[in-house]
Amino acid sequence: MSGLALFLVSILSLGAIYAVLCLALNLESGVGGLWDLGIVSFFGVGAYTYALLTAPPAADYQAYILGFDLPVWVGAIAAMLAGALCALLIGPPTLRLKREYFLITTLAFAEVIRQLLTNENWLSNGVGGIYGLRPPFRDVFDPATYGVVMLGMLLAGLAVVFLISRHLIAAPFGRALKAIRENEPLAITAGIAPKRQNLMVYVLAGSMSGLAGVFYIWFNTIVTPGQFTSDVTFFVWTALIIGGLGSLRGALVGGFVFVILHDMLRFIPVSGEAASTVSSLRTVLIGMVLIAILRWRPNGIFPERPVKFPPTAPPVPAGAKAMVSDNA
Amino acid sequence: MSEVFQLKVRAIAELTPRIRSFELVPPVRGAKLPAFTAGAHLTVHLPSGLERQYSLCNDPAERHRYSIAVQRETTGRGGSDEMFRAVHVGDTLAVGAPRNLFPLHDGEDAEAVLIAGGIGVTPILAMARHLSAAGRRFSVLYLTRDAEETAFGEEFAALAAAGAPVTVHHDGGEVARAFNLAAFLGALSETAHVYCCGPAGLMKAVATLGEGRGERMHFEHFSNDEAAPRSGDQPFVVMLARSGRDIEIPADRTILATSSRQASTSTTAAPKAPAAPASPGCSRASPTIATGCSCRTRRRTASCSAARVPGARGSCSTFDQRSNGRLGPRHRRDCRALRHLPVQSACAAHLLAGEIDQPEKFAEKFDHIKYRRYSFDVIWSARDKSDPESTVDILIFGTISASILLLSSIGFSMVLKTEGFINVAHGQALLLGAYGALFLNQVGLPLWLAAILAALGCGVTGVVLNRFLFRPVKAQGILVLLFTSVGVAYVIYGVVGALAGKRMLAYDLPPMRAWKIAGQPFMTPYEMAIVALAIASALGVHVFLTYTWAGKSIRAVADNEDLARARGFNPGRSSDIVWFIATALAGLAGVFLGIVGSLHTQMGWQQIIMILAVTVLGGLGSIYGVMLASVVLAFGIEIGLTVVSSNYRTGLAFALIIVVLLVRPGGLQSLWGGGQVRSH
Repeated sequence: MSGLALFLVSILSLGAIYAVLCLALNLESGVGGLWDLGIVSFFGVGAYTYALLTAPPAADYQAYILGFDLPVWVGAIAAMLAGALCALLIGPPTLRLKREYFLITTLAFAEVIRQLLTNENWLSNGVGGIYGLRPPFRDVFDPATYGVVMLGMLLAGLAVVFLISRHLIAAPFGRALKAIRENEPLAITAGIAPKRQNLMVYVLAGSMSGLAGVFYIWFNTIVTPGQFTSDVTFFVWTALIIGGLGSLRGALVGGFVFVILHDMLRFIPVSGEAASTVSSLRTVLIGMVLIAILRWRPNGIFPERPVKFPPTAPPVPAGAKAMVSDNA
Repeated sequence: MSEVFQLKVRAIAELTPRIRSFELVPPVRGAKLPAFTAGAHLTVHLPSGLERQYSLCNDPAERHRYSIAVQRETTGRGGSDEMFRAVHVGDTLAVGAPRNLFPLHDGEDAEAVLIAGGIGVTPILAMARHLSAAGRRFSVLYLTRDAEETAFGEEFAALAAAGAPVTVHHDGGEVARAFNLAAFLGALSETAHVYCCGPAGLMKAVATLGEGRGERMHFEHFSNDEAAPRSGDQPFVVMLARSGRDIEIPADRTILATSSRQASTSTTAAPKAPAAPASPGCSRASPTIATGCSCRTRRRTASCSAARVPGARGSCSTFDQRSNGRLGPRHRRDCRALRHLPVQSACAAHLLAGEIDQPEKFAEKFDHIKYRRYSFDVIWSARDKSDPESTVDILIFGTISASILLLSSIGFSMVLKTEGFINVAHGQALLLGAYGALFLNQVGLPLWLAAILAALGCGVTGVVLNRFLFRPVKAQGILVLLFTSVGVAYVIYGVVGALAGKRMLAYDLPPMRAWKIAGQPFMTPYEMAIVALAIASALGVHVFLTYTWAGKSIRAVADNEDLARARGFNPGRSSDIVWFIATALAGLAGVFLGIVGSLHTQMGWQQIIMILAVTVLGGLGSIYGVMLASVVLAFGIEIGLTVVSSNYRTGLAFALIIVVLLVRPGGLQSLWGGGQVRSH
């Protein structure tokens, strides 16, 4: 494969991972009204759970727990469960807090989790991280085409998450969330329990992000605490805002657009010295796009579209009925 | 963010009994590797977590592979040994992008003279290949012990066959057969650039002989073994700023090894055999949260101390991962001296300032420094666990921390109160102030003037940002404002990073000793000034808000904009004032942060995290709550760190706010404000 094709495959793979994160964040922050600045927590917890379960036991120069060498699918399910469990633990105390307090407290939890991963060497080999994690079917395919296979798997995973997400949003669950987001007191009078709904969506987003963590390991084959800084949270938010907060299509596209923007400059050949300047300029570019989008298209590329429900009117003559459904 | 690539080891060749070459290729066939230039090196992340730098020796025109050569050092600290032992063909190695600290001069006509000694040949070979391909004039001098120890002999023979003047000399380890460097260098043309990489002795000799050439001499120091005494090491005096003592460090001793024995009776200092400090857990003495300059990073402790070589450059640093203790309080204080070192030795300060919780990045800086010509000392210290943190220490460091935290957070809180959103870019205002002052300082202004101008500059920037970026989107709500500020933060961060580079920097400040109270070291004048200015600023803000017309208008607008407008206040003007004050204070805080620690591009992000913690603790938008919270948080962390590992600095801050929020969701202000919780 040529360099450009490889680059595209790699970009699209990373884009798919970000899109999964965007869908998770969209569910809780776009559809639900939870401003979560700690999405990276679940991403990291999922990734580490997967790594610790599927990695071989720690060698003598490493130190980490578990290392059961379990199959990929067990690791993936465990990662989702771990993400959900983590959300279930963080959720109840933090969800009591309002907006900015919630935002900062979730950020705080993410920092604490990262510091644990960084400092507790016995747990996960500290900053050294765990290397050489083999992605699934690595041995089955020719290394030259494996990148495409990987992209296929990631896109399939993304598709599943997208369909689940779409179903959830269309379901009474999603509508209840939107009701809470728009007008909480009114939602309560309609018999919706905000606490329960919020916790549910928080846990769901946690497990989706956990799955994204698994994908991230497949893509990277290594896991280190440095990959799970709050930068990721801000990146995902940026991606979602570029795409359109609250909109499924926006979340899907946002992830890819962001990664393309972010990594476009990466593969321009530059000398070692200029590399750091280029990576700084990359950040500038992201910042300017974010500012511009918020200024001129604050609802993103694909703004959330209001859903119109057909009026549940008393029976009407057949002709009029047809007209209503046309409108819908 | 340092990028790490996964590369596959495609081939390993035995060049000599002690030297192996490793050929690294992308895991996917046909992919291109990042380009490098001749003289660049690669950071290899070994499976054990060690990091080692190896110069690239293949032709820089090649994009499909990297070649490195490693000499097994039996006395080394395990890096080369691991490369020999644990790395096999087909393995995946994590490597950082190539970086070049030993570049060739730009394409003038001047001849390049390449001098290699032993394994130092690797960058020289890449240079020779590049120069040969580019058709530039060059000559090579390659000094080794004997033919058996000579790596790449054939490659140089091929270059010679192609017409390049290549001299390979074997001295057999005998003085009598040593190459006559003096004659060789003396015969070179005045305009020739000399590049030398090899053992310390060779480089020193070349440096001495070529002294008159000034900038036309280029060196690459190769050893990973900073702890080992080198020829040319000289004794020097360390000034301990706090205890006020001068300690003479013999040439073959490390600073801590010497000073710990003299200073702390409780130090059971057990410098274990030089064991793998390449994953630097450096210990910055002070737990100054506010500064983000504590570098008691992960791996337990280690320590640092200040070096000052009279009339010369000098420095020292720190580390090891193995010592399991902590430093005695006296050391912790002494260590802080380092930040007052002049810039030449700022590398040590860089180390100290290490990112608290990002040792990976820290290691990167360490490497960078290593490749510059600083002499290093690796020092160890251990502390008896029973040695308690003294109350005075907690008091002193807590006060300094609180001051800077306060100064950083007031502005943030003012913006939050009047504009109603979390301004993430506030952290980057600190960065802007710190680097702005550094720039002015380097231009020649005294630091105090540079600090004032930088703060004013930040203030103006704040107003501009408000008018052109924040105000136009104000109607869109706080989420849009919040993420606009994230965008602004990215832009400032990126621009400063692109202009200043990613290395750590420090202000050029003369060293000063700590004042003493009742015989006990207290604070240095710098620290005193910072504390005094922070308190004065807090009082100033209070007076301004309470007694001046502009201050009153700010409060009025913050409470109820429509009402204020109706009463004749101009909301636009008052918001400009808020932005000016807030950003200027942030800029000043950034300068202070740079003074007590050092300057690095991550400082904005690190500090905004602490600012958020303080602000939440104090109650969102409550300026007086923030003042109290800075003190509570600073001291809380100081006290907390006596119990838990200092690696958990920010973690501790957040644990504290998590607890406070769960108990009192309104923050500290709810203690006296009747529990007003903002509602949106």
